[in-house]
Amino acid sequence: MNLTLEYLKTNRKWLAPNLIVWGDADACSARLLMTETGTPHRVVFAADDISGLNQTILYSDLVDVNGNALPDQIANPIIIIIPRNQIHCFLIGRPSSNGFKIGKNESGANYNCDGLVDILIMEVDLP
Amino acid sequence: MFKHMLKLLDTSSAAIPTGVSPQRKLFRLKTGPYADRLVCLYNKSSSNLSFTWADPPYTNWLEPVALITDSADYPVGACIDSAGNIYVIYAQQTTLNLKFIRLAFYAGGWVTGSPVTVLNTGLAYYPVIARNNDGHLWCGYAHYDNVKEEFAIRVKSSTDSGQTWGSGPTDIGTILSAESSEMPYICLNFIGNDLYAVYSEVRSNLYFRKYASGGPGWISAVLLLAGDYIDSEFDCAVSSDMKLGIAICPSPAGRVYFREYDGVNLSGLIEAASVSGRAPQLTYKVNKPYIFFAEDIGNGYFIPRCAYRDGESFESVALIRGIGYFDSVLLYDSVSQTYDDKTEEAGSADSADVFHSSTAGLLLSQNDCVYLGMNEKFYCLATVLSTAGSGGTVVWEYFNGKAWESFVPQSGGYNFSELNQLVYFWQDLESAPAEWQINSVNSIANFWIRVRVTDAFTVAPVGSRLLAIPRTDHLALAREGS
Repeated sequence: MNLTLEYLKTNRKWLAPNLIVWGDADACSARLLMTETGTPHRVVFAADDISGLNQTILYSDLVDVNGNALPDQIANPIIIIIPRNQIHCFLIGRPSSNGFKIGKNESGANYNCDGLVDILIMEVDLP
Repeated sequence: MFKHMLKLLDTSSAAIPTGVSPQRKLFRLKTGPYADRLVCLYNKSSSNLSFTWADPPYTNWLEPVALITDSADYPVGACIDSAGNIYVIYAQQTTLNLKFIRLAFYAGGWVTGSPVTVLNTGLAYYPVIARNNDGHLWCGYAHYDNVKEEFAIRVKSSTDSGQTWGSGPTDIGTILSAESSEMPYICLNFIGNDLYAVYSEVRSNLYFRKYASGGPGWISAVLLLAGDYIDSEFDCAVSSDMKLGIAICPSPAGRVYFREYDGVNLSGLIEAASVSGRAPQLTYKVNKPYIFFAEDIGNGYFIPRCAYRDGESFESVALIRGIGYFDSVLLYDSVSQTYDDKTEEAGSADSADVFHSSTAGLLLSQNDCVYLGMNEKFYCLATVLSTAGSGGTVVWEYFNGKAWESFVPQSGGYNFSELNQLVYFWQDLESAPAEWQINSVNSIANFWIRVRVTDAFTVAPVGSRLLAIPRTDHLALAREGS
């Protein structure tokens, strides 16, 4: 087997343009001390996460710059976000073979604005 | 995502173990080898202040350590710096003098310093303390003047890490509020090195005053809200873009309010939640405010909730999974062998509506059952009955994967003979049996608790509410040092 040829054949790339990012990365972690009143009172610790808005992108939902649909599965994907406006966008967690989660960071004058990005996806599956 | 949890740390005989809303009791270390450690302080008894800490995932807490043994039965105030040192201010037993103590963070533990008298003239209540980036400390408190027999909010500062305050213990501090016969409350926050004091006055008006670093002194009071019975039901926090947020729960309003001050303009009064709440705690994530509070659902029971800004308005969500309304409440009559679904009635505040249609009772004959179901494990049952039962006994059971297994509730047996009873099945959510599994009852899959009659009732209990909700109060959100 020609490893280099196989690498080049499998090392596919797609550029998916103009993805609007509305996912909310502002999930808040609550760590609370509380009293449960009674006789005696109970001092309790509670923890929970308040989720933001999840934006999960499936590869099958995307089209590349040539208008071609992306495959359903991409092995060992690497994703590079190319910002197209001033909203800071980033991946939430690791991308899977089916898709990825993306979120935006709102602040100051950009509050309540969506992000706009191009997404470069690379498949780096080595034989 | 972090696992949700609820863990009993201790019991307390103090009046308000975890403090009022403007005070700080739970702290998170931000950096270093002990990053994310949580340390909490609470009044263990009428004279004892204890503290404990835990590292992630917060399942194992240190055996509580007595920190102060001469505290008055009023909650204390505290703050933390970026190095993990904790600054505590409290009213002393009997004298109600104000005392300060510093806990130095060293090698993964805290070393207690010597108490310093901050104030020994008049009486001090509900103190708070804050520290700026230069290490200057400020404390605020409700001061009672024995001669005038009036309260007022006063503040004092220290520039030597709390060794001396103002001109000494007889210096009663700078007055900020009007004097009144009613107890006022204060919350202190720094924005940069500018100090903001937010305080309630005469129970019903909330103001703020600013002390600009290097400025002419305290600016005049700005009214934030005129509403009945605000008392200590407010909290403040600072956003990353340097706005001061204020969350308020005036007790009769049936609303949770929010306002924001950007240094120049004050926002309008925003309704963050259209429910009656108490014990608000405010924090910002980036610039989004999150208000944690206890929603009053009546009958003395409160659900922890969070309201957060989503665009122009606020969304409100229940906070701790395993606390709330049951997903299913089924009543089983062993004679007719029928189930009645009383889920809605068990959650509503209507009286005397939780009974089986065949027996007109919650439970009556041997092997009648109440099934309490949630899609998360839960740990308590609040019962509000319109008719107390008598003559009968019940057994409590959960499904262990193979069969129904009986248990005695941690709070003791209960045979529906009291009109208003809070039953703790287990010590807390963490103590719920690992083998407790979801099973199907009347084709509904849940974590179920089965209450089964072993001896028939002579008077059948009739229910008004069945809830998985404790009497939550005095929330204290984890805070970080600056």
